[in-house]
Amino acid sequence: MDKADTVENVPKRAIQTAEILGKRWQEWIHQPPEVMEPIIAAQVDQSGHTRADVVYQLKHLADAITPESLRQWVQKSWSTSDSTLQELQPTDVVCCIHAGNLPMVGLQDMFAVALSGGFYAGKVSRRDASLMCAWLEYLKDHEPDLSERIAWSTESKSLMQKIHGSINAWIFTGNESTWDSIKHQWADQPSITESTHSTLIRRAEASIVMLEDEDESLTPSQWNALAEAILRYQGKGCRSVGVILSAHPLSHYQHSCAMVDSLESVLIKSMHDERPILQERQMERGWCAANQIAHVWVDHLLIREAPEILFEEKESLFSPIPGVVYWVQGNESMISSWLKNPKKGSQIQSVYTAQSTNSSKQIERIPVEQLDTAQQPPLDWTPDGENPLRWLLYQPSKWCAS
Amino acid sequence: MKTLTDQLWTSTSFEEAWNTCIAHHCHHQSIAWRYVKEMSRKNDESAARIPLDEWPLLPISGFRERLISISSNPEVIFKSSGTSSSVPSSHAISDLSFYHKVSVHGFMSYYRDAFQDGARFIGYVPGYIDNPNSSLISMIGAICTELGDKARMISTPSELRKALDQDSIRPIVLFGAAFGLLDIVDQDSEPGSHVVELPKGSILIETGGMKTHRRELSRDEMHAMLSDGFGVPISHIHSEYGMCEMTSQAYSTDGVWFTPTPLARFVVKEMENPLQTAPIGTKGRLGILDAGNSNSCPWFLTDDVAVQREDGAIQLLGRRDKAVSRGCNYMVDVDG
Repeated sequence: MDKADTVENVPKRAIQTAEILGKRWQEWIHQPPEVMEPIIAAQVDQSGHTRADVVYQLKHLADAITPESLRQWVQKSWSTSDSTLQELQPTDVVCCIHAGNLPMVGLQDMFAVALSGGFYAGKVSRRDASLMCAWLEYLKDHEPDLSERIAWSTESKSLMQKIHGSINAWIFTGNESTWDSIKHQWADQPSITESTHSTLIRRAEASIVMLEDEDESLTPSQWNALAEAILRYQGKGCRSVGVILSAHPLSHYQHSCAMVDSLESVLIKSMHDERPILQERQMERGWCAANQIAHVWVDHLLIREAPEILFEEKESLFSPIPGVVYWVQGNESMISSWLKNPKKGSQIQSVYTAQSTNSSKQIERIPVEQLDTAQQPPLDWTPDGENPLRWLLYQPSKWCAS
Repeated sequence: MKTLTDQLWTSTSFEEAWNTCIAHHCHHQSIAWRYVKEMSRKNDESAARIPLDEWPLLPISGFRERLISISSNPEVIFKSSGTSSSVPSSHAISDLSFYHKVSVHGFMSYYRDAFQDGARFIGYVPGYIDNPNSSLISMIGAICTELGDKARMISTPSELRKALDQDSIRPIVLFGAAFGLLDIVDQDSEPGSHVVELPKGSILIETGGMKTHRRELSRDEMHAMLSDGFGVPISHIHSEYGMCEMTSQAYSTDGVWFTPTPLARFVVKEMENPLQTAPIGTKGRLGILDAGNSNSCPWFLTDDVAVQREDGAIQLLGRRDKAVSRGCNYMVDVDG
């Protein structure tokens, strides 16, 4: 690349795209209520989330995605003298198979492809389509240049018809069986089976928090952050807390008003009223009570002392029942051992701490994030440990090599 | 005074055995009983009157998480094969002779006539033989004891062939783990020929499902393969349904419908609402009421999917998909 086309190794075109995307995003998300309300209402219908949770998500996305944050992300992704990093061409098609977009996974992928210079082909989940499709529609209408390299649909067949030529890279979010189905559906695209080098697959299930040290107690704001991290989006997002690691057994807090009050408060704020309550979760509560296993039952949420089998190598780290959070008495070394375990490590999305920590703290190369950012991640966060923009910039050199 | 197991054994109906069983659990305030009270929010007296179709079933995962036992010193602890997870289920049996009595009686109620007509019994249990805590091995051992020199337990295909070579005339009741029997069939590369041909009039009883087999098969496919592979008419391919968590068993002689032995009943619960009983003929999760589980938990919900007939028999439809919709899997949507 010519030096004149770059600023500190970053292509000028990428910086310009960041500015345009940031400006258009801010315009779109700050449209008047008469425009946004139907979009929000449709999102509530499709996703089953409360209006309060959808608005919470939009407020966060309005703060997190700006011309400046996009520019910084671009600079961070290019910040190396590594000559293998390359911009994609508008003919380089990146197919993103999106699942849910909470809190911003699919959206981040869309921005990553647009910023990389490639062609974004998005298979949008019908269960999380309203916001994403409305934004893409707005972008297409207002940026003719970008619209030339954007296509999306909630239907695979329809998306296939919009893509001219072959797909160069895949970003997939889901599980093993859905990935198999996608591979079968898109079998006429050789790249889907040819090589795994241009396929970014995400399968993490939930996140972990380290609560406190033995001689510390939690403040109301820390309890509140924990409640937000557990309860927003019904606890189903990949950044939602599914395991709490504490220096104390759950019985230490079982009758804590601060804990229950915080959970109640977030339940009220998120307007979440689960009726009827999932019966499997009620059965789990009954099991805990019958066995005198320490547990906290607030409205529809169950926090319980983790079963011993959780520590077995091949066992899942998170409860198979939605809305059941495990409490484990332990310390940082336990997280380290889980991250090293192939089964458990692949299930963990993020590790948080409720305590103040320096921003560079890591466990097994996973950054330890502040708990209060659980449902409000920055634009440049790395789902499943991978910055999708940087990952994309590495792909062209692999295509050349092969 | 009669012991508990004697009372259960001499019960004249399931209802009588059930009442004996719940009175015992109530008396000991067992984990299973405390669970019923927690779920129903009833006291002992009221809980005992809960109708069977409303009885709160404990998730079968409980057998993996804890040893559920009234006795502090159970005579034996059966363990599942642990094929689907690393931690097996454990079932505490306080009276092994009672377990044997129940399982042998259940088996003989279906096959006594065959033995009276001169059939032999072979229990074919590859894989299980290395598991000293296998309930299947224990049960087949008890059947062998009951039948004396008409019966034997073997664990390799060559032993099976040898047994057939020694006597190719007398029919056999061959009872074996489905995956092991299919492994024998799979060795046959010539369609239409039989690696092991059972004598005329033989009956083959498969059990244990397909959990460990290298490929998924429907029950119909499996039975057709077994019929071809062993030279037995499809009407002579039967099935047994049992598990380490049960004292009782169920048998199917028509390849479709399973009927439990006298101390047990099936219930089918709604897939998404496992506290509600599914309407007859509707697919749901299989629940077990086994009065024989006097020491552990007589009421539990399995991960098997089934439909139930008016007479209580069930058809098994496979296992429940336990994939959790959460994280990257959340709101995933693969269109047709």
